[in-house]
Order: sequence, then C-alpha cells, then structure tokens
Amino acid sequence: MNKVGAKLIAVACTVGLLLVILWPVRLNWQKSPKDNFPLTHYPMFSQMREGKVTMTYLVGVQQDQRRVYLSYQLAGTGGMNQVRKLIRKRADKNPEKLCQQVAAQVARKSEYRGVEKVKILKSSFIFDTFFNGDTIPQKNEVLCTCNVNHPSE
Amino acid sequence: MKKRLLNFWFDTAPAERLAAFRIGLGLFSLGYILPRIGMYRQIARQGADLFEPVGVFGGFSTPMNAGMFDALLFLTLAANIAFLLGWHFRQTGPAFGVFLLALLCYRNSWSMIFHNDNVLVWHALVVGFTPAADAYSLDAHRRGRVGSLLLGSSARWQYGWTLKLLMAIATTPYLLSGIAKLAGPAGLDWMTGEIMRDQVATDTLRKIVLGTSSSDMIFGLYNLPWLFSGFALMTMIVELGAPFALIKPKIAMTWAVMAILMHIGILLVMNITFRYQLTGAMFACFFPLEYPIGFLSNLFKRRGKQLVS
Repeated sequence: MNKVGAKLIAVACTVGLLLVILWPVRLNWQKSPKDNFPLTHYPMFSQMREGKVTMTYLVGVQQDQRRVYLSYQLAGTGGMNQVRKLIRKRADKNPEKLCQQVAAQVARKSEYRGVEKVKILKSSFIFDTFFNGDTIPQKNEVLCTCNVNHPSE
Repeated sequence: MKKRLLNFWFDTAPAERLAAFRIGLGLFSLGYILPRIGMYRQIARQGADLFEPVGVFGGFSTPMNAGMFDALLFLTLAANIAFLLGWHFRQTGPAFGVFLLALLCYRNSWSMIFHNDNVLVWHALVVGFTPAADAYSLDAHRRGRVGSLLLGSSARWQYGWTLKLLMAIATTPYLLSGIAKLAGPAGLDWMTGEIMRDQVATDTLRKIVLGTSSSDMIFGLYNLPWLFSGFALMTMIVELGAPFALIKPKIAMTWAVMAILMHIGILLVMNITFRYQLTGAMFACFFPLEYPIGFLSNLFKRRGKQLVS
C-alpha cells in the first residue's frame, strides 16, 4: 500500500471510530434511552436521586432478634452492582425462591451460624438521616421471610 | 488549516513508544481476565432470565452455549499472550481486539454494564490493527518491522497517528460524561455538587446494606456540601477539558495526571476501582514511554556486562 492510500485509510478510521464512539451522545435527549456496551452516553452520573434511595436487600435475623446485613454474594455471582440488580429482579418475580436460595447458602457458611431467619426487604432510605447516624429506613416492606436450617452439629 | 490538521494527526513517533503501550495493555488485560476466569464462567452459566444482550450480542435472544463461551475465553487469553509477546502480530493483534470485544460484550450482557471496560476494548482494537509490534516483540526480533493488517508496511507517522487516536479515544468517556451531566435533568445545577453527593451517598449505602466493604468517608463529608461543589467543578474541568488535552503533549500529560488524580479521589471517597485508569495503563499513550524503558534497558545491559566481567 502506498503512503497516500495508507493515510486515507488512517483518516477514515479516525473519523469513523470517533464518530461511532461519540454517537451515543444523542441519547441524552431521548425519552427512554437504552444503555449499551461499549457504546454508551454514560447516563449513570446524571441521575436525580433527591436525597433518597430505595433498595432491595437481604437481612439475617439472629437468635436475639438482632438484624445483620447479609452479603449480596449469597444471592448470585458477579460484582456488587450486578448482583444488586439480580436481587431486585428475582425479588420482584419470586421472592420465596430467592429467600430459600439465600437461606440455603447461609446454612452452609460458618460465619452466619447465629442467623436463624432470612428476610428480603425493600426499603427507602433518606440520606440526611442515614449519614447522620439514624440508619433505620423511612419505609420498609418485607417481601419474604424464611427459616435457615443449619446442619445439626 | 488542512495541512495543520494533517500534521497534527500524522505527527511522527518512535515504534518503541507504541510497542511499550502494547505491552502495558497486554499485561493489564491479562492481569484483568486471569483472576476473573472463574467468575466469567459462572456468569455465563446463569439463568437465561438474567440475559440482557448488549454490543455484538445485541441481536441474540438466548445466551450462548457454556462450552462456546469457554472457547471464547480460551481464545481471548491465547490471543492476549500472543498480543503481549508480539508474535505473528498481523494476525494475532486483530484477533485479540475482536475476541476481547466479544468477551467483554458477553460479560456485560448479564443485567449490569461495566463501563470501565469501554476504553480497554477500543484500545485493544486500535492497537491490534496497527503496527504496535514493530519493537519489543518476537516479530521484531526475528523479522524486523512487520507492519500491520490495516496499513501494511510501517512508517514513522503510523506510530504517531495510532498514539494520537488512542489518546483521543481515552478522552471520549470524560467528554461524554461531562455532556451527560449537563444534559441531564439537573442541567447546570449539577455544578452545585448535590447530585454528586447523592451519588456517592447512594453507592455507599448500597454497599453497606449489601454487606460489602465501603469507604466511610462520606459519613465525614456528607455535611460539607461546599466540598462537593468543589469536586463537581474539578470534575467538569477534567471532563469537558478532555478534548483540549490533545492540543499539545505537555497539556496532554497534565490532563492525564489530573484524570488519574480524579480516579484516586473516586477510589478514596467511593471505594470504586477504575483499574485500567488507576494502573495508568490507559494513560500510558500520553507519555514518551520509550525513555524510561530505554533507561531501564541500558541499566540492565550495564549490570549484565559487569556481572560477566
């Protein structure tokens, strides 16, 4: 390939690739844009949260009725945000099944020996109160409760 | 104008600079994929209800066979090693770019998209198709300059052009993020820092209730809204200023350092690790890497001679 031909290909690749990568910018002005990979408009940093968040999560209830947050890893494989979405999706669809699955995992782990029940909760938290020491959610909905059957020692 | 633009894009650079970037990228991706093999294989075996295909798998309605995914994973790793070593690069370079794109598209097709992988994929594709194995490679050792699948035989402008394109690609997520913030529902109010504070708070709260480690800095910072206004301003400078980083090498290096500092800030406040950015591998194209490598190489040669004598 001669020098001019190679440079023309380079120009075409530069313009084409940068246009393709920057093309999702138009999604900023669409009503319900769908995110993608590796082309995206990075919507996650501009969401309005208005000082609150609603979460679906797992809680263990101990013998003394104290509650502990259970690790997301009991519900599935992947990073925290990936399993967070999985928990929300499966808790909406079939909370009993998810609860049983988590309870079975809890029963297998020695660090959760004191946990007698698993609850799947959907709660709304207010940042102003949470980050000033009051971690009790503003709204709380128990989606499911199930017992943990620890193996007899 | 046209001549200036062409001079800007086709500025020359040594083959060693692009080759050093290839090695950094190859080492990073290998170090990124190897510890995640188990996780990737488990993710690929999840229920089809979690499959939300993206990228090159956008047209798929069901997940691929688990054995096929394992083959893709193996091929990506094999191509990664060849890419790193610069072995039969005209074939293995493009293969690595394409396999990595497919692997990470599939990994991101399971209900959650990890945007920190974006630039890695684009960089691998660009480096794979360009003459990045003309130095520091098995090909260069055996046959001299081997060129690339895209442009054929090598010339010095090709190294400079590739590096400039890699730099331009590295700036795009910042520019897009900056635009998304200002085009979002808050508009210019994003600059007050409130949305950023809420985002940090959301992330920390999620980590706490999902029983994983989090940075507790937000507990100390939450009642200091002015601090988040400062963070928001600095973020905007880095993000909207990203395209200007391409103007001159000194501005480019300054911008790259600012971007790395921003990622260190994100790590400290949110405990989020942007690995490709934080290791510096992504920003290596902004720096003349041939100098430190040449220095180290001479040092080893001298030490070797001393040992022999």
